[in-house]
Amino acid sequence: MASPADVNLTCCHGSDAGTEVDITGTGIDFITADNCTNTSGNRTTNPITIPASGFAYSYEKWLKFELGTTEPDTQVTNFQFWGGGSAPEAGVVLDYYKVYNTATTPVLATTNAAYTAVTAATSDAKQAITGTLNTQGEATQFIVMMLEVSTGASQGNMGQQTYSYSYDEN
Amino acid sequence: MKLLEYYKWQITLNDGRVIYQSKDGKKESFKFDSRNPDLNNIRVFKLTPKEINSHELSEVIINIPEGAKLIYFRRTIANTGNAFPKFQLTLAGWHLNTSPNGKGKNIKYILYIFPDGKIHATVGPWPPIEEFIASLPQKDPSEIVGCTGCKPKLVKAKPDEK
Repeated sequence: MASPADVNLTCCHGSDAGTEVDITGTGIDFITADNCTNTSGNRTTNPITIPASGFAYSYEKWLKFELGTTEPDTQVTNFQFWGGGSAPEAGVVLDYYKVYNTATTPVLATTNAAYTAVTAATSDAKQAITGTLNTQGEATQFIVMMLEVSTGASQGNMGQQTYSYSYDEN
Repeated sequence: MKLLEYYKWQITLNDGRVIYQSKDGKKESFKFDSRNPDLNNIRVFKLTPKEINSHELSEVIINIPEGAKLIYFRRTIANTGNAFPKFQLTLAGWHLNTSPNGKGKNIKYILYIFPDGKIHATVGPWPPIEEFIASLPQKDPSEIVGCTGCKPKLVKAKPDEK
């Protein structure tokens, strides 16, 4: 048998989300720039400014699951995604997601319309991600994520957010 | 305890042929998809622990009823910060439609086998995995150097800035 399939979590940025970065186990920052970086310097250079009124947003972060060099015996499918059940800062800092099929250039989010709060995708109500992967380079649909900050948010570095995912292989 | 690929399978077909899972690193000839006609001819599905003298796992033997189809896959569960190690549940069972035209009642029987040997039989949603995750070595939050959406930095607006 083949080894377990090499399924990577890939972040896509740039024109038509065409630049891919493997972020499996490393993560990204919700910041005000279009990159797939996870460093203190990145967060310091591109912070989100707490708005005096209304909401401020991070750039969209385009994520997908992609098959790496080790292919499955048959297929990898039934991708699911869920959060930890709580917001980064209840009521004032919320992480959102939407699923999307076609790659477009990430932008600075301006609204949470068409998004779902990650708190709604829990271990009891997982979000399905469409995709059946057989060969290297194939990928699922996108999970587009962003962070919304409102006026009451606390200043400084925020606690990390960890998201879980699963997929079936045979 | 192995968390990934801890079983190897063996299939006995209706005509008596026995098919073994290929060795690690070799291509698998038996495909678990609908294009494989033998997928409907499985009489017995057997899982054997890969680890010799495994203390946690036992052999699992599933007799597939006539007309039923095998269900078998490994479900990998992971997280963006690697707060706990990636692991797999092995799902094995069968699915039967009571009518030959597929319009009858669907009956499913699925075993969720955990890496520690616990087996949960269900036809509904996933069995709880939190208890098993809690038993795995957890990273201290300070050790998690990266995760999706990690530590966004928020700054206050300047007085003249909206």
